[in-house]
Formats: sequence, structure tokens, C-alpha cells
Amino acid sequence: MSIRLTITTILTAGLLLTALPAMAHHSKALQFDMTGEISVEGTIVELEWRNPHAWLNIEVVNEAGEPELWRIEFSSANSLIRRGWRPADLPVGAMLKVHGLPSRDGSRTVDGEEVTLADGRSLLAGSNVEGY
Amino acid sequence: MTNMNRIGLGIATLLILALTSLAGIAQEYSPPRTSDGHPDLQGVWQALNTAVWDIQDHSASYGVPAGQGIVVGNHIPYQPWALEQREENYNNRLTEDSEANCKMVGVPRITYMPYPFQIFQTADQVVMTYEWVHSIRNIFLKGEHLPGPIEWYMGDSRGHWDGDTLVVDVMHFTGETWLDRSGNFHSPSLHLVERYTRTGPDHMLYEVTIDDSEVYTEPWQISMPLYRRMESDIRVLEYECYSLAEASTQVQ
Amino acid sequence: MQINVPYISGRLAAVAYLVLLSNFALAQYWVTDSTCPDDNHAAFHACAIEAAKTFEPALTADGQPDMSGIWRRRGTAHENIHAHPPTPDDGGGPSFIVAPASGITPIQDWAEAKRRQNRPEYVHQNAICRLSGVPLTMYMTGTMQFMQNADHFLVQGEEAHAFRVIPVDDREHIGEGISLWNGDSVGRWQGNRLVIDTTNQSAEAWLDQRGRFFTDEAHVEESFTLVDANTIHYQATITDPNVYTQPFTVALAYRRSTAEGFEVWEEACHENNAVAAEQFEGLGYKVYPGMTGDESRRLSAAWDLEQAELEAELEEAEQ
Repeated sequence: MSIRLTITTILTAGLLLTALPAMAHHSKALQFDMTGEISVEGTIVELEWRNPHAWLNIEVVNEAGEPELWRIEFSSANSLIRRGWRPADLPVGAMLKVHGLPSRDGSRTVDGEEVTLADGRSLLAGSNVEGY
Repeated sequence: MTNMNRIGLGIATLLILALTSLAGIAQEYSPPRTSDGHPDLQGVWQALNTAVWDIQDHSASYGVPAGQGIVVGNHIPYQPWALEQREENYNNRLTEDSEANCKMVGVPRITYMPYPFQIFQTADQVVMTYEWVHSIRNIFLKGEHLPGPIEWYMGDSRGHWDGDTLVVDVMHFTGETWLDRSGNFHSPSLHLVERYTRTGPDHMLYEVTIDDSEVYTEPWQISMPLYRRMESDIRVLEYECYSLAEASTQVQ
Repeated sequence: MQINVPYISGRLAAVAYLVLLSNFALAQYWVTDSTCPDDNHAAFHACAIEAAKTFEPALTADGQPDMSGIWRRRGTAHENIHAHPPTPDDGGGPSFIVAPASGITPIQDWAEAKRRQNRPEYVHQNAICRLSGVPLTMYMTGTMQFMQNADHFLVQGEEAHAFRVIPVDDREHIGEGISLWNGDSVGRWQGNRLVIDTTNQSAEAWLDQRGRFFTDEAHVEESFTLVDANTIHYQATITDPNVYTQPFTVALAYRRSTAEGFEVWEEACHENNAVAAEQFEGLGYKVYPGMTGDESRRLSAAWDLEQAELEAELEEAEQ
């Protein structure tokens, strides 16, 4: 793991913890493993810019060299807009890293908490620090 | 044209103008106003027509009553490809209509769903609440349309007063909703201009200019009255379709 | 490429960052200057009642205390109305219950046993786009818009486009044959307080995310009172002798939002929730079916019978 990614992860995790108390939503623990963490890296196949959750479908090459489709769940498109995300930042074909929580049912689904774009920019998901 | 015909035409024109202005004065209704001086649109209203089944003139079919349409001129100027799409929609309506899937039905269809709806009004916003899956529209009277891309089932509504008419500009739609249960449809490029005008103590005129350069060759219009629900204890109730759906103890 | 980051190191790193951050004050997005503190519900409740006695609120054109605008719910009652610690999934906070003073729901034994089963068995209603009923609608969402006219009070939250319409003309309730997720609310202004009475709930919604339930015979009385220009005192008393041994009261503060030009936007839910719903179903969750008064009485009687039989068994064993 590069130094830049490590720092990004630390910064992100800190901001996430401070943002958590503002969340007003159903429990993530229904769907995701709150004790785990996962990072995946791949190419955007599709962006679903929707409510109640925005989704990124990304193609990840596994250790066997095979492509796998992973689905990343984010908070609502409304909350992402208010956090400064724009669909133009997430075009099909773009490479990115996603950090978040693994699913409880073992499927290739991640609760996306942070996205790092190819140019190094970091996008934070979840209800924003204003708690909308 | 001869001079006699010109004079005749002139007299006819003057008569028509006089009669229409007289008719205008007779028909012009001055509604009660809110404290900021605009017509009070508030209350519980409902459409009384068959537009939800089919916005055009239609005969009865099994389970569907006959109806006179709400489309001005009864013609929807579809692009040629779109007529085939509409037919496909009609054939698949029991599974493809958003209403059949307990989803929101968009604008203008929410206005003529056959249930009461309620209007609330302040200086900054007009809010409309509906029974169908607790749909709600916030019509902002201040501020511009949001920059896209945005796809909202009920669109992004920005209103202003044009005399005694509330004019609402709506855009940023999904392509998933239909204008009725017969498959009349639009794309995400749908752009509406609604006009709400009180025409009497218990009546309102609802007119919409409908435009979508992906689907129609030109804008077209619908027009229909809305009727005030007169019961003193009227409520807008709930129609929570997806929680009522078959096997609703299964997660959906 | 897939990287699994070990749990411990990620969280330790986060704690380290928080230490670095500790000198920064977190920006607040609501008015904090207030007569009454809002970090403890019981303290806020007592303070608010006193403050409201002398506060004269600005009035609407209809002569009502003006509660319109964008408000921020304080506290985390939607997670758990009892005092609860922060976890990765919960913000944590003090008890939302101001009466009884213990801060514990006065719940009957059979109902507490049922409540403990609710959370593992049923997916929370908000996760599958259901309405939240009364009072949970008032604290499920963090940001609410209140709007009022001469005869109605409209409460709106953005999440899953939830709203409540409350007539304030003190009309009769609808007939008992109509059951609604949000019940039937009728309100009236009592001086500077908006008092609301709610019946006819289908009782398919809970009071929080810990399975706290009530029956369709429950009766909820709420009040909204401006405490200062930027604070509303909200309280709700839940009466359901089928489930609780006495009525109990929850209370919280709303603070006026400072977000410039905030608009409530459309947040569709059911329209695009199929993947999450499939996951919940795959994990074994069911949809909570609600509870009628008759069902609660059946369960309560069965519980009492079990208790009596257990006692008889113990007596028999001692001989």
C-alpha cells in the first residue's frame, strides 16, 4: 500500500468517525459487517446516480486474473450532491479505489465510505457532516 | 377582398372582441387570497375524469371505463418511432407501468390519479401531498432549477405567479414513468409548464404544456378541471402500495 | 486487486487522527445559542418547560407561533430511545424518555421478551422504505421542514419522502375502521403550544431501531412549543396499556438549521431499493406485520399462563 493511500485512509477514517453521530438512517448493521473493512480497486462499469442509494458497479480483477463485478452502495445521490460529488467525476472506464464495509451475506457488495480517484482526489460518502 | 367584405370583417372582429372581453369579465373569478396577496390554492382537490387510464379519448375495455380525453386537440405529436414504443408499453402495461410496481407515477399523472390530494402554500413554497405511496411535491417559488444530471420521479419544480395563475416549470425527470396506464410515455428530457388557476370557489383549472424533444415532434397540452372535496372531515389518506403488495411479509 | 485491511490497524489509525484533530472545533450546522442545552433530553425537557412560560414567539399571519422552517433533530433517539453507548453503527446518547424519571420504558414482561426478538427477526421499516408512524417520524430523520397555515401543520423529512399532515382545527378523528401507518392526527393550539392527538395507527412502525413496538390501540399525544427563536421543545406521550404498564413520555429539541437556502429534495426509496431488499430477505429478515390489541392480549395471556405453569412446576419439583 502506498504512503499516499495510507494517509488517505487515516484521514478518511477520522473524518468518518466524527461524521457518524450525525447520521440519521437505518442501521448499516442490517446489511454490512460493522467490524470489518474492505478495499477494492477497479474500473467503473456503471454509475447509478439514484436515491435512496447511489451505486457504483466496478469491475475488479481478482487474484486469478478474472474480472469480477462488485457493487458499491453509497448514501443517497442527494447527500452526495451536497457533499460536492458530481457524476462527471465518476465516468465509465475510470479507475478508482473504494474503501468501506463488507457485506454480511458474502456477496460482492460494499458499503462505500470513501472513493479515491485516479488523480488522487478523495470523495467521502455517507450523510455529510451536516447530517442531512 | 372587397371593401364591403373588409367592413364586414372589421365589424365581425369588433363584435368578437367585445363578446370575448365581456365573457372574460363574466368568467374572471377573483379568489380569496393568502396574506401575500396571491390566490389561495389551498385545500383538498381531486380530478374527476378517466385520464389516469388514458389521457386521450377512448372506448371502454374490460375493466376500463370509456372516457373523453384531456389532450387539447386529442393528438399527441409522437415521433414515428415512439408510436411503436407506446404500443409495446400498452402490451406490457401490467408489468411495466410504474404504478403496477407500486412506484411513484410522476407529473402530471399524480395530479389525475383518482384520489384526493392537498395543497399547502407559503410565500416561498407550494407543497402538494398525495395518497399514492406518500408522494409529495415541493414547488419552490424562489431559486432556479438545479443543475443536472438529476433524475427525480416527480421532477424538480420551480414556480412563480403570473397574475392569478401559479405557473410551475418542471424538469429533471426519470424516463420510467408514464402519463397514464395505457403506455403514453416520455424520456428524462421531459419538460413541463403547469398552470393552476382558480376558476370558482370549488374549481381550479389545471393546464400543462408538455415538451420532450426525444419523444415528441413539438410541445402539446392537456387541460382539465380540478374539483374541491367538500366533505368537512376530508383527509388525504394513505395508499402504501408496496407494503400492501402480495406476500408483503416478504421483504420488498 | 482486492485488499483486506485488518480491523485493528484501521481503527487505531482513526483514533490517532482524532487526537490530531482534537484542537479543531467541529462546525455546527444549527443554531447552538440557546436558553436550554440539548445534549441531555431530561435536562432539556425541564429547562424547556420553564423557558416556554415566559418566551413570546414570533407569530405567523394567522396569529400562531411561527414554527415554520428547517429544523435539526438533536440526539439519536431513532437508534434507541434508551440511553445507549456509541458503536460503529450508533451515535449513542442519553435516554430520550423523560417520564418515568428512570429513562426506561415501563414495558410489560411479555412485551420485552417480544421486543428482543423483533430486532433479529425483522428488517427495520426505514430500510425498506416504509413510513415511520408516530412518534418515530419526528426523529427518524435528522432534518425536517415544518410548514403551517391557518388550519394545518405539515411535517416533512427528506428521507424516503416522509411527511405528516396534521389538521389543527380540532376536528373529530376518522372512524376506527381506517388504519394508517402515520395514524390519524388532530391538533389544536393551546396558547403557544401545538397539541396533537394521534390514533388509528396500524402499529406496523416501531418507536426506534430496537424493536420497541405498540399496538393499533395506542394513543399518542404530542406537543410542539417554541422555547426561544431557534429551539422547539417536542414531546410525545405514548399510552398503550396492552404493552406498557403506564404511559411514558419522550422529549427532544429541534434546533433551527443554519444551512443557507436548504431545500427538501426528492429522495425516492422503493423505486430503487430492490438490491438492498434482496439482501435483507437473503439474510432471513421478515417484514414486521404490526400488532393488534387482540394479538397483544393473546400473547400477554399466554405469557401469564406460562408463568403460572412454571411456578407450579417449581413447586412440584420441591416436593
